[in-house]
Amino acid sequence: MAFGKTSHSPEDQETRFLKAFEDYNDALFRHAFLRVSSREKAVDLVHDTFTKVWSYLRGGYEIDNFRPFLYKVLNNLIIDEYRKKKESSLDALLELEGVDEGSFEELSESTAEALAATIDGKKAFELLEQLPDQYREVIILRFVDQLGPREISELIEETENVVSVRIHRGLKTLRKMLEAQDEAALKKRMKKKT
Amino acid sequence: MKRFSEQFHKKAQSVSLQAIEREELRQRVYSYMEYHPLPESRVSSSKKRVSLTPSQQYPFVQMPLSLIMKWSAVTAAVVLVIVPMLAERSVPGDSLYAIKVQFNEEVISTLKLSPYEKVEWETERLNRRIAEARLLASEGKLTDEVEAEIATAVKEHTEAVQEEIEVLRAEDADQATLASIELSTTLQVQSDAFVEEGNTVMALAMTDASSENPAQMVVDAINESLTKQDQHADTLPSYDKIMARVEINTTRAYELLQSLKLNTEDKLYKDAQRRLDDVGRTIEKANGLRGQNEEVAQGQLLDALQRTQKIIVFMSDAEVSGTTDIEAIVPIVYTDDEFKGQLGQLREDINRKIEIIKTLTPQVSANAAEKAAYAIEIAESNEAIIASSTEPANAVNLAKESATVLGDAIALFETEGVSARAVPSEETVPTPEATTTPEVTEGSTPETEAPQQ
Repeated sequence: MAFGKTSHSPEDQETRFLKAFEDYNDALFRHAFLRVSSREKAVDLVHDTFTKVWSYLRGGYEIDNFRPFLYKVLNNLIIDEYRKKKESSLDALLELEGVDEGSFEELSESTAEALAATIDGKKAFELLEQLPDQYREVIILRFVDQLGPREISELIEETENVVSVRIHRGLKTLRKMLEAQDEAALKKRMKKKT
Repeated sequence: MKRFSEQFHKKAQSVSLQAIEREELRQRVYSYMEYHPLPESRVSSSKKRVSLTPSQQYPFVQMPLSLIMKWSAVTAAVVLVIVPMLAERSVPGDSLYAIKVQFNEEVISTLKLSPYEKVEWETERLNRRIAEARLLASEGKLTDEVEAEIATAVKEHTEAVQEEIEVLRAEDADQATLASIELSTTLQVQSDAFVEEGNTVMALAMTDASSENPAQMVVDAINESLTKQDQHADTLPSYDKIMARVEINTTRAYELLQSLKLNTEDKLYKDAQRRLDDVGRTIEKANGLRGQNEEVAQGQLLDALQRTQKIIVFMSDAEVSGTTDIEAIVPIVYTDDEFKGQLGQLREDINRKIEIIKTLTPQVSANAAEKAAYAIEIAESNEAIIASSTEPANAVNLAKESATVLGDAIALFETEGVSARAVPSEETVPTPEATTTPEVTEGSTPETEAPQQ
């Protein structure tokens, strides 16, 4: 995410900015919508993201790679949005921040793969909204926006380890939720039969 | 893992911006960019080259475009809605009159698809021209020039209607005949109203020898149209077709009447109601007659149709109803019972007059006595016919004739200085105004028609 004083010509900056808008508006909207669950708010967030980035350019800064920069700005805006919405749960937010080191299992990419293989992607997607945001954020970045752990770690300003642990725990939580759902459905069916 | 992330990713793709949302977002970002451009020194060259890529064109074109759209929408609204609305009220001589006639009416013309609708619309246009002439005449603004213009328009519209009727005739001869009848009825009403109004104006301006009917040219044009129209009178349309038309027209007339009930003084309502009731009775009669004599029934139904049409013109054209008396356009049709009542009173009157003549005859000259005897003879022969008549209307007419003849004889006596005042005279018989509209009172005795003087 390198940006510094510009060396590109202004028209070049503008063209690149417009291209970035065309390339990423949909992806950014998707990310925002999955995080805030409101189309209107998501559009506003994407709009604010682009205007903020434009302001950076006006300040004479140059952006080499728009994609991570846009995600960074959007992510900050979403966090602001959360803060606005849930002032009371700030403590809870801080509490969640204190993640332990994580076990070896949780840190390994291959075990995450093994875990994911046991989950139905479509069903899991439906449950995304119920996932705590801390997990939701990384799951979306990883599986929807398809960013690598390193990119995610830069974006959310955590170590790669933390990112891996969160992905692992997020997937686990999703699986638990799915199991609970299946169990409830099974019980219901049994009840009906009896 | 692969399966999960594929499934998950695929599912996530279903969330995306709708085209309209994207466009809105794009516009918002672009206008932000336009209002917050890159610093001058950097942009100076970029503005010139901005048209190189299509996406760059947006920021600079978008605002004026929306403005242009807005203004063109406003202009379109003014040109297509407001001006024509204002034009609708214009009369010949106004600056917007051309728009009314050559734009508004022509547009409506093209919207009328079926020949029958076209005929109706052309008839309506004809009505409008005449109404304009009447309005201008009543305001004293009808110059020769404008009058000539309107007269030409009346002729043109009549020709147009006749052309359309001919087109219609090829498709449906019955409908054509009905349309033709409606046209001549409308023309008749307008012509009558005009003539009556003209008479009033002339009466007012009697002292001015040069004055003539202010809209003579228009009246002539209408009459000319009427004569042309009459030439087309041919076989009667079928009973069912007339019936259908009558039903449509009576429904419309009753609708008009309902609207009148709310906003017009009672008299007009009562007048129209009475005439519509008359029409209803005529229709019943025609239905009864149909089995025996279809042609007569058709004739009666046509009469009902014409009367309904006249009532409609009377009620819908404020100019006509404001200046003309309904009795002149659609006279009351009396029921048999009313006729019997009238007949009774007329007979009383006749007997009294005979009585007076017989008493006074010895006092007058031989010539007058002879004439009086002849009058009595006529009255007696009429009475014989009346007694055996099954048509109350005819009987009333005969009785009226007798009363008139006898009245003349008494008047003749008076010229010789022999007054009938000693004996109760005909003046005691109530003389209803021609305009009053008696309620239909089945079985009771209504007011009588006055013996003609």
